[in-house]
Amino acid sequence: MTDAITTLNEASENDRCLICGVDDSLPVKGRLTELGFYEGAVIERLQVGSFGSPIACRVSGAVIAVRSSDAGKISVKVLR
Amino acid sequence: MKEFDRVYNIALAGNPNVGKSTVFNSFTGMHQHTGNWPGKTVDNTQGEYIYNNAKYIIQDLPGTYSLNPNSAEEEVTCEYIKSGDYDVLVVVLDASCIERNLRFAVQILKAVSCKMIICVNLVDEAKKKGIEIDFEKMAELLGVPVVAAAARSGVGMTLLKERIAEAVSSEISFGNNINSESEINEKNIVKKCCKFTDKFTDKFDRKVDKYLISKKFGIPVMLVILAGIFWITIVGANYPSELLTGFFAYLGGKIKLFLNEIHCPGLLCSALVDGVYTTLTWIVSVMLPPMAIFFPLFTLMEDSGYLPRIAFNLDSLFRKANTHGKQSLTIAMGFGCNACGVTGCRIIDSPRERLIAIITNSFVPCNGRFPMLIAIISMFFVGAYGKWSSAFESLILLGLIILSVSVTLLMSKFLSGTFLKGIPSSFILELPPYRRPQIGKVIVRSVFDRTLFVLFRAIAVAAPAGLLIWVIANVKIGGISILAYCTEFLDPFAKMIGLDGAILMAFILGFPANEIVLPIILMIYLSNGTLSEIPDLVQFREILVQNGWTVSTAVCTLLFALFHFPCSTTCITIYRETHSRKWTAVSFLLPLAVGLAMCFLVNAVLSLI
Repeated sequence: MTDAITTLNEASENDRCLICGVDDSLPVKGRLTELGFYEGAVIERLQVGSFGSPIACRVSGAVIAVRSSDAGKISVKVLR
Repeated sequence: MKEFDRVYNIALAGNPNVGKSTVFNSFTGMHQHTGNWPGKTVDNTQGEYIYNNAKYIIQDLPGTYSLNPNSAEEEVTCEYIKSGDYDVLVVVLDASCIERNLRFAVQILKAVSCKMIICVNLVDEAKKKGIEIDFEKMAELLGVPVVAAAARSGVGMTLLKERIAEAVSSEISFGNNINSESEINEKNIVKKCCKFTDKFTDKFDRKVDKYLISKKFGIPVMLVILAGIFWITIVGANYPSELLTGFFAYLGGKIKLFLNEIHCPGLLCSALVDGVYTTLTWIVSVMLPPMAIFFPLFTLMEDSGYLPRIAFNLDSLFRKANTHGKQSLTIAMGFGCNACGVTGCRIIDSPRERLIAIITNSFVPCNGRFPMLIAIISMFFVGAYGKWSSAFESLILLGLIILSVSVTLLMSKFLSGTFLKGIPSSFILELPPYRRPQIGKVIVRSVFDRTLFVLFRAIAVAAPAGLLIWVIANVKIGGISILAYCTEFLDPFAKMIGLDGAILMAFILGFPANEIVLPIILMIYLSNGTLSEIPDLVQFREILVQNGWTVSTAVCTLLFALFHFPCSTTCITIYRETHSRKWTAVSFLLPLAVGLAMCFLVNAVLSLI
């Protein structure tokens, strides 16, 4: 389980995740990179909103929320 | 006017919500609105200050995350940064989120050759979070001056001015250390000059967020907060409102006496007092107290960082409506003023979603409409509940707000399913750290900048409107006043939607400013009657009831107040933002159609009972 690659929306609260890749089909890929969602970055998945979206993450010192549909296109490795 | 032989252009750039506007205000002494959320500044603002006998013109640019623009507005900002059309570029960084901010700074250094100064803002906040920064080392690595600052408390501002002055006068070029092939990047700068003493802590924020944006409690807590704000507004406004009404009634009597004393012609006297004076004082006494309480409360919420959390909580609903999550921010701005809300829609990148947000913005009641809602609710729905009445009143008001937000969502979904088809775009929202609001500043600024501004606008419209009404009420053709002709003409139609001619007429005349709708209704009724004193709410209710108001009339008036055409200022703003007559017309007609349909249905149902 430790090394299994999953997507960000599958990770659980307070998981630290190593980003393995961001799907090219995501129109906001560029913006996400600027915010710190890039391959090799370690982020922390925080809370999730009222109906399962959006997902708040701690990324390079800031808290950024992404919609869960977008989070499904970010593949991560959960660090335990 | 003193002439300055040296004039310099300074630009302020940086990520959103790092405090550019706070630096700007501190320099210029201007009062550009600041708030604790990314996207607060959507307009280029220009100001100036004097330092050592030279004049500095300073541009407050909207925040961007990088030089790769993601929207038309960002493109303007990025182009401006790249153009080098300034003497010094001040890049403001957020010390508590230093790596990401440095990435932007390095990107600018690599792409633009200009004199640049880095202002690392919010160092106080960073310190609390256990981040220590070696500014000298950073300056050395980047090859540009670095100033540590805490702009909110004024720390570092003088030094920054000094550095800017040095930069404009020096011939040396900046940023020599970095060219496009340079090895330097944000990561190795952070490694070399930042120490994270405590393992990065924002425990407090996360604890608060456990409740405020919790999956279960997020929305209920938000409703409670809103209800609380309404309650404070209603309870707090009651007493000063009564006081002002009494005072103005007394003063009005005196003015009439005085006018009689100086043998002012009766007709003129009546026009001035019964027309202009009554309308004006009504607006001041009924509108001012709730606005003076609601505006500061709202600004406090904005300042604390709660606003983007509302967007977080509601995003799923907006996603279901196929629109952008940031629409809840523009809705929140609409509560203050729909015109501001429409301008604020620039924070939404996708043109389709922005248009939807613009068109539906006036579905939520602005500050000009709140007092009208509160007055009608308290007159017709809560009379019998004694000491619980204000709590009950806030709940009804909350219900109306939920209704208006629901209609916004429904209409957004309707638009995105028909005229503005499309899939929802991605939504990225930054949740800023909570900050203690600057309470004193907030109160002073929101009273002076917003409350008085809105009040003066209302007064500017109300005085001529009051006069106009008096004239058409008193100029008679064939024994019947022009006003009576108008209201009678509108009456059959208005009755179909549960209103009457006077109410509909008041909404039409209230097009320039919704604040004056209730006073106009009052004036129209009074022009046929005998009362000439300014009534308090109890007497006002009597007047309305005498003129045929029932609970059903009140319900329909409330609904129509929520959903009718946006005010003229909002319409102009919509045109300015969309550059399209078609969409301006849609924004005008859609809420009107919704209001008419809803009032018609409600009236039909209520008259069956």
